[in-house]
Amino acid sequence: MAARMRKFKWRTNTIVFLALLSVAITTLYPLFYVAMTSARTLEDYVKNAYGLPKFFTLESYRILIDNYSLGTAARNTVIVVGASLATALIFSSLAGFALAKYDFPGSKVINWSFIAVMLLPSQILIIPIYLLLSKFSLVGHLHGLMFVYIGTNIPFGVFFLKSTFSAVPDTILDAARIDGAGFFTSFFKIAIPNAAAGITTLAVLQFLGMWNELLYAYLILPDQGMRLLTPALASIGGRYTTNQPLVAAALCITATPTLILLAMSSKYLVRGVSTGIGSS
Amino acid sequence: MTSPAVVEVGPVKGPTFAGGRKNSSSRGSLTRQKQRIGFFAALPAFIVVASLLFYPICYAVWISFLKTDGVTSKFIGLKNYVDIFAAPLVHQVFVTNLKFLVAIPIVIFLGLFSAVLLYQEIWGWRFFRIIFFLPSVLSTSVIGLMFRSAFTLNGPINSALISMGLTPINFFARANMAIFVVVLALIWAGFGYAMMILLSGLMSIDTDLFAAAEVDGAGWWQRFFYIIMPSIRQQLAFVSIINTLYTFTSLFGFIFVMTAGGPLYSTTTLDYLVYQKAFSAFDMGQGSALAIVIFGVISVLTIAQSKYLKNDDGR
Amino acid sequence: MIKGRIGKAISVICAGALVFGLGGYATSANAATKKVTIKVWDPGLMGHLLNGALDTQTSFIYKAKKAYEKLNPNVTIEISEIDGGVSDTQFKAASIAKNGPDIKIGFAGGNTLSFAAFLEPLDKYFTKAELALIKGTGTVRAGYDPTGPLLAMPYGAGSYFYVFYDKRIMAAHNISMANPPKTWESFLALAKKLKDAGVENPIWETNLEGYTGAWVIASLVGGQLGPNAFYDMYTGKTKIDSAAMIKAYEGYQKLYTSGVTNADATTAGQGDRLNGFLAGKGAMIIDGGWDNDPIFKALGENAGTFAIPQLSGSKYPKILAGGTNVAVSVTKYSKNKAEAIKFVKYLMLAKTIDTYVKITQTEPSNHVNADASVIVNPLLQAQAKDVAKNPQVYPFDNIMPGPTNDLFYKLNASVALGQTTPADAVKQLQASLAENKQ
Repeated sequence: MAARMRKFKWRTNTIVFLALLSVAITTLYPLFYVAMTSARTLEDYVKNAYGLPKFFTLESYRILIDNYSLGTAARNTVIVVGASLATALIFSSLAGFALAKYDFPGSKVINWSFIAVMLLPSQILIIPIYLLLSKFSLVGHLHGLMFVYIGTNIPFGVFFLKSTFSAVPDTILDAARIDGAGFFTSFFKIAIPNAAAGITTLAVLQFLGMWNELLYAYLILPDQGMRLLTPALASIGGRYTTNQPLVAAALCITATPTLILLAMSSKYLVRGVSTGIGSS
Repeated sequence: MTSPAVVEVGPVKGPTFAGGRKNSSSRGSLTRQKQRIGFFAALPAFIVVASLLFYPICYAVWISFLKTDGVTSKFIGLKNYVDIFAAPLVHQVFVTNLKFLVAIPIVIFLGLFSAVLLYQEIWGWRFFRIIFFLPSVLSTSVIGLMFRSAFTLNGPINSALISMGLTPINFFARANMAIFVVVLALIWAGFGYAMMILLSGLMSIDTDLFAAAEVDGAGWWQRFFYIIMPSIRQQLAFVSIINTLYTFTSLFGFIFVMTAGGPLYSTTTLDYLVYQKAFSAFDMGQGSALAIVIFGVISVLTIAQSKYLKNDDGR
Repeated sequence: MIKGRIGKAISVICAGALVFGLGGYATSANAATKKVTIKVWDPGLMGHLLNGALDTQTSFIYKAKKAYEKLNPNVTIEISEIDGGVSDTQFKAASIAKNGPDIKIGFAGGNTLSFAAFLEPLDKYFTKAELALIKGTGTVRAGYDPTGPLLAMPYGAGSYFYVFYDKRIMAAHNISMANPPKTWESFLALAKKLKDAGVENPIWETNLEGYTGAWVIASLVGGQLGPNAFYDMYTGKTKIDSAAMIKAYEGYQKLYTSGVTNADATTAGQGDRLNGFLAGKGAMIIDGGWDNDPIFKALGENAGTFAIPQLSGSKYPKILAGGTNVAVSVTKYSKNKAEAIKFVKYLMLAKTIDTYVKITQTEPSNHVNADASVIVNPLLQAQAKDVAKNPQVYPFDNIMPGPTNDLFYKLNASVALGQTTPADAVKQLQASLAENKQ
């Protein structure tokens, strides 16, 4: 990998490292706290919420596993999020690339309509979107929710990827064009590899968005048996109790896959660089 | 600023990749057929979005002229809009929202700062890259509760103040102090997201440029201002636009956990009013009208930001 | 009263729904042999157990479902837990689209009334004699008009606002609780006495959201104006902007200015109320019957309780503030209305409500023929005795429109902080009601 910029000196490195580390601790602490809370009893938590638990128990997890069909919920989540994410990424990449590099008539209108959609406070669209889906009998079906996720994620995706693709140098695209590359060759062979870091970033952001989405997940799939994972666990706490260990266990269950994914995807962010043009 | 290589890509309206504005040769070589391909490539995305949102948006605009509970409705023209502009609560909450905008430049600065540090492979950069993004994984209620307990009257922050011989502050009892804590929470929770996006911009910088700049003896700051900044202008614009949007449309859930919107309405944001009106039994029209007004405000801010931060938006 | 719709994250903003393909469309006369699926939406009011999780084995609604399906093999009861933060929106959207549930479980009072357009009036399905067995129907009649359509059946006698205390702390300071304070003033005096005796927080208070205010104002106004206090304000018979309301707010404000609460009383949140008390941070808390179970579990026989006492000189010194929480409605667009009503009738049997009380231990039954022996929690036993013999006032925020309640909570918090005067608060509330009343 070519030098990005000159590396820091030893002393600068230490100071900056310590500063970043202290910020990192504030980020890690809540995770640690939630994980710890999830593994203690309510009585123990009430007595000493911030101290270490007397003993660890997986009782909260047992309650969740017994009462929520987590297997079905996980499967439904993987189907909905997987299909929606893939579709949204493909459509946004195509549109983002076209809008960034092909100055076709109407591109302005399309681009601004995507931006405008993002600017409208989404609360007022909830009821009409529901009515629309009801009309086409999409309520109560996984593909109804997928439609919503794809449609609501594309504008952001196009907006994001348009800037990413704009950064791909025209010179290489022109060179490829002179060599006879068509749209799809340019798209797959040049644009995608060059924008890999951006696409991965977008994938992570949109995955998080879909994984943690509650509103439409409740709206479109009201039946207990069809619930996705996050919504199934989000209503814990009930009306009268604040059973924090249970809430924490639910958070741990829903956050673990995202943490694993985040750790895994960070490798690809690096690969985005190494395939970058000019580095060797 | 010396080096020819740097100057060539650098200044804010650089002709090559940074701004994305195509040079004349590429534009000239686009045949009509290629334009058509571009159009068809963008079409699927457009169709999906339009088929999902065209009807709902028309519906929302239409009911902004109605007094409706969703079942019965009455056309009242612009009355909903007039009421919004006349309501003192809307003015107050709007001003509160503007105050929360303070968080954005700080988020961007910290995001940029940490992105550049990671880009330069500071010790532990692989670790920090994941860790700083973690708040985006945590739920807003966890973040809210964390800041609540940190800044509560008997919390660690006040203990620290006392140990320094200062008087403790009841942060959530005074409007501006409460806003301060919320802004702090927004920064903490948001800079990792900005960092991630800016980092993705940095990653696509042609590293040959740095090598060339090094040969030419350009210093750190010169490289920062003449290579890095112009290259990630799009991402900077993006982060700033998205954060503005977020400030106007989706803060309240976060704030509710910390302050319940109080004292009184001093930390209540516009999205809460939209929510309240859009779903209150008989006032859906006013919710829509308010949303459309907010849309107008964000549009102006967005256009201003994209005009200022990049030179080719809207193409 | 804590309303799920506000208490839960509003970021979760939302709306709702239900599937088209219902099991069967029992419109024909031979419905008895046809398979029928009845969809029930419950925002966690009947399906949760006290540990806070959905409980599909032992919670009330699932037990009722199993028992009913056994009696009626052709009927399937399909329960969906709807998130409390989104349930209103979800029900509204689904009702406009006419694909909501057959039966909706929700909050009695203003919340049920706000959905009047979608709810089947139930009067005609019940005989006068049947209705006479059920208490609390006044909380769910359209416009709170005693002759208005019955939009739901009230479920349970509701929970009431009480003071809970730790008997050990009282005993340690030689305070006899044989006769708990009879007036608001003597309650504050008791707290003062504890403070002087060295108890750091005589009253543990967490009023960030303004909920304590809602409970105390309900009590102190009820004491002065009686059971119909807030109905009359709603219908316009009396005014919110009145001397009684101001007096109540002034009494309530004293809770915070007398130095008997923790210093962060006005900025600590609802989530800390019970946990703080159970962790021993205070001698007393103001709370409601919904916390009977955890308090009894944690303190056992050391837990004591008495109703929020009234201002001295009140006309109704023994009135209890609180009332019906839960209501069961049938939707107008239900395709299985007859079957749905049959299930509601089953739910309204004295025996079924007894099961509910037995499982939840948070509120007494509202059936005339209730079996009091199902109440095992001594705190609830004490409250049930009070409910049986004393008048009750239905609280402000159970009655008023949503936006007025939101303002009410905020004003309560602000009055406690001393940033709004009682007179100003009631004036704002009056204006809000005028603006938001349907």
